[in-house]
Amino acid sequence: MTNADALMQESPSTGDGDALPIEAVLDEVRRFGSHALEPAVARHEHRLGPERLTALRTTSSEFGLLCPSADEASGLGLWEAVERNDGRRLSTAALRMLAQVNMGFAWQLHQFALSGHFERHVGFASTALNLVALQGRYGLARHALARYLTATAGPDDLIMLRDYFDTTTAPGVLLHAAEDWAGVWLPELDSASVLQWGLWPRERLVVETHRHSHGLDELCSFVVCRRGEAQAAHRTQLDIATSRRLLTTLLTLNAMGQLATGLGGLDHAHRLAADYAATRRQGGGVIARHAAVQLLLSRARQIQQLTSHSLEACCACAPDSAQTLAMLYQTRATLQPELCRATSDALQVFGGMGYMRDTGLEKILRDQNTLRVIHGTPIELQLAATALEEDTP
Amino acid sequence: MTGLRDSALPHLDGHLASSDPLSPFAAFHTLGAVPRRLVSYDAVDQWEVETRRLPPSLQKLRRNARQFAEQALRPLALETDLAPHAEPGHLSPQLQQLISRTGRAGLLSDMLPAPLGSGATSRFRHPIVLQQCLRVEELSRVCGGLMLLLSANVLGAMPILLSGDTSAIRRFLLPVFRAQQRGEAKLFAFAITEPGAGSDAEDGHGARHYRPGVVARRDTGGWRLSGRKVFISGGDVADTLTVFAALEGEGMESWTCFVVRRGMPGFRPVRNELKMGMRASTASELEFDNVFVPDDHIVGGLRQGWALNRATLNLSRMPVGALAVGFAQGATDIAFDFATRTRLGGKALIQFQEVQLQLAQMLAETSTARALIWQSANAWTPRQATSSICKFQATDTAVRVADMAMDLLGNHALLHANGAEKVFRDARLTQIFEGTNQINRLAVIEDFQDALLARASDPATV
Ligand SMILES: Cc1cc2nc3c(=O)[nH]c(=O)nc-3n(C[C@H](O)[C@H](O)[C@H](O)COP(=O)(O)OP(=O)(O)OC[C@H]3O[C@@H](n4cnc5c(N)ncnc54)[C@H](O)[C@@H]3O)c2cc1C
Repeated sequence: MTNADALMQESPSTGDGDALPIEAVLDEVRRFGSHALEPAVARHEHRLGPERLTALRTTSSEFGLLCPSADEASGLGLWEAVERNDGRRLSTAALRMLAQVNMGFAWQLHQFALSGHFERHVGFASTALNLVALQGRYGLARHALARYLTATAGPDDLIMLRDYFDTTTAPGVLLHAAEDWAGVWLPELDSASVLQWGLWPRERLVVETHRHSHGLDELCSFVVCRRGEAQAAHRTQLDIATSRRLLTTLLTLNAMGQLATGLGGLDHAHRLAADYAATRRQGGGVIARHAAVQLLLSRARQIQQLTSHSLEACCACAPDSAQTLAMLYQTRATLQPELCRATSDALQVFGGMGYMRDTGLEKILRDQNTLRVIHGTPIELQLAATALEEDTP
Repeated sequence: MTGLRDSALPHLDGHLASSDPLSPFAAFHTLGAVPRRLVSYDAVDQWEVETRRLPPSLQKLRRNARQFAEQALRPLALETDLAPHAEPGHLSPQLQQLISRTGRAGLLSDMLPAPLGSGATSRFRHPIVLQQCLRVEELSRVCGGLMLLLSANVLGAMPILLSGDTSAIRRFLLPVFRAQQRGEAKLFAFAITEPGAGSDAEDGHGARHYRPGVVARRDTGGWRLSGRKVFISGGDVADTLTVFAALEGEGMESWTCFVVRRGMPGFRPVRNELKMGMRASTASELEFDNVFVPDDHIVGGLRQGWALNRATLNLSRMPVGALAVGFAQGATDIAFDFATRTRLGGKALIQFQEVQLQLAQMLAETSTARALIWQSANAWTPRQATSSICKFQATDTAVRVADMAMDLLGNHALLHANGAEKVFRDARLTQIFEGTNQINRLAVIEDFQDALLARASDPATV
């Protein structure tokens, strides 16, 4: 029996209670995507500005996709019913669908929804748009973060983790998010070496805004440090087991969101490229007839199928387990570069047009690159997964 | 690495200090004089090692190109990448100054030796393509967009040079060369691509089926050009363009190379594309509305265009490979720099084995591509297959190495100021222009076609 099979048995596919009305919710998401989001991003060369982004997010909150506060959670929004298989499937399917239209919009919704999940979990009622920082100064702290999660961290790992999450000195941590976030939950090891979270309102932080980032143009990069003597507005008091489980779940859901968003982006790139190939004539006929173009398009199909199946398998596993996280990390290490390559192949189908902003392909490729390098690049993911797999008690 | 000490002698984690008796470098010192010559160790970097292998005139070219790129291009690179796309025909004062500076330094007109051009005579014992390769690599290592702004000039001038038509060379090349050396911002551009023919303009099989879009109609004393060219690098700002057009009523085999001058009535840059990268250089759509081109502006004779086009591509695809090597080198340099100045858990990243492995791989991929280019470009008559292999192999390498650099920087790669993401955006073009990498692969087979057919028709073939 493989790891995945074992995990799926632990987490039966029906989940708790009645099945969620997934199709009805997805119909609504589809309608939102085509009627509200698509017209706003139809001109690929124009950045979706912050006001429009906020307005669209408000619309998505109104039909329940992004829960505005803990007490209004219907269980049908993004990352709400995360303990249920169908809840996780619903979230990944919705993200994929949104990313088929615009990856940046999908990703910021995912980030705020994940933060909502976190706040519900720690019992913090807020209507503010907060982020939860899941990545420290660089990479995944090699093996240290994984060892913290599996209760095998040694003194060197703890030294590494303290430095990794240190936001008292520059350069602090890097966030890539919508411009209108109000605060950020920053992780920090307490004196007992338990990872706690502090909510830092934006005004208590030194925030350097970088408007020119590689991809996800709708969002900005922020380099964040704490401001002098300022204190967090709120701090969690988690016991170590809860702290580990919570972080494992957050990292797992985040990785699922990354794959789902990347998959939606590839769906989009493939659709655009296939349409173009069916009409562009070179070499004496439509280019879709040339083996060279068929190979480019077929790679996109392979990676779509592979990512979709892997995501399905990951959704079926308990999100608070280190084994699930290891599986997701290995999957991301393999598939995130493939999502980039397959998108790049779709761009290649367009020839010179693919390099131009108005066709949209180059943006999807930059967005895919962005998802590849945040929250662990392939090498870091492999090191972390190895530590998670080896050390799982 | 000096300064990285966590034991008595400076060394990286997992390695011995070079003075340790078990280090090969210390051990080599114990060998006799003759074997020591075979294994000597010199603490210089890869670039210096490779430069020293070149003949003296090319060493000088390479060193000058690096120095020029660092001094003239580096300060503009990130800023011009962020600047809004220029209106067609408009060159910012900064870019004008750069072009004049490059011209005055003799780097725009050195396809020919002095006094015709500005190249040092001693260099011309070595092929022009090799010289171009050495230079573009250094420019693109610093900035792809600025490199393309300056180097598309060579591409535009090449058909005139290759025509061997001394009158055309005297009338069209040399005056511009002289103006460039005086510091005038004058450039050449090369225009083959049309809305309906990108690959078809570079591949004979496609061209056979294509109905030409830019057509020349006979008129008294010359020809009238009508139609559109697209994606022409620097086409809106060039002073002189080599424009390929078919003769009215004929197919692509009638392609003829016309010299079109900026300001000729009916010639108009219509728009500049919004591009992913290479943003300091424009890709322009050009309109030809009944443009009168006198007979003496034909280069190489009527119906010689296809031959000049293919010959130009044979000579330019290796430099495209070389500029891709520049991207790979630029990405590698950025990654090394990041790994030595970024710390995690109290250590520079370079101390971590996975980082060392990745950096070594980047160096290896870059050096392998460079070796291919240098070896292939060291021939006066590059054949099509060799040029195309250089082009697609090195450009695929460049994108792979740029990916690796972004991976090494992780989420810091997203920041424009760190440079890695720009290298990726710039490098990605190289897999598309001068024939997509798919078309270049097919060009290899086309070049070996007769030999392959002979093998296929050999009765011994099963
Ligand atoms: C930034 C930029 C700068 C440029 N600069 C110049 C310049 O200075 N001068 C100039 O003249 N041109 C220039 N070009 C044009 C460039 O050379 C072409 O874009 C390139 O040759 C590809 O042509 P295309 O864009 O029409 O793609 P297409 O030919 O439409 O190709 C689309 C896809 O079909 C595939 N395909 C096409 N034909 C075949 C076939 N027969 N068999 C198999 N597959 C096939 C291609 O590989 C590609 O994947 C530039 C382009 C760009 C993007």
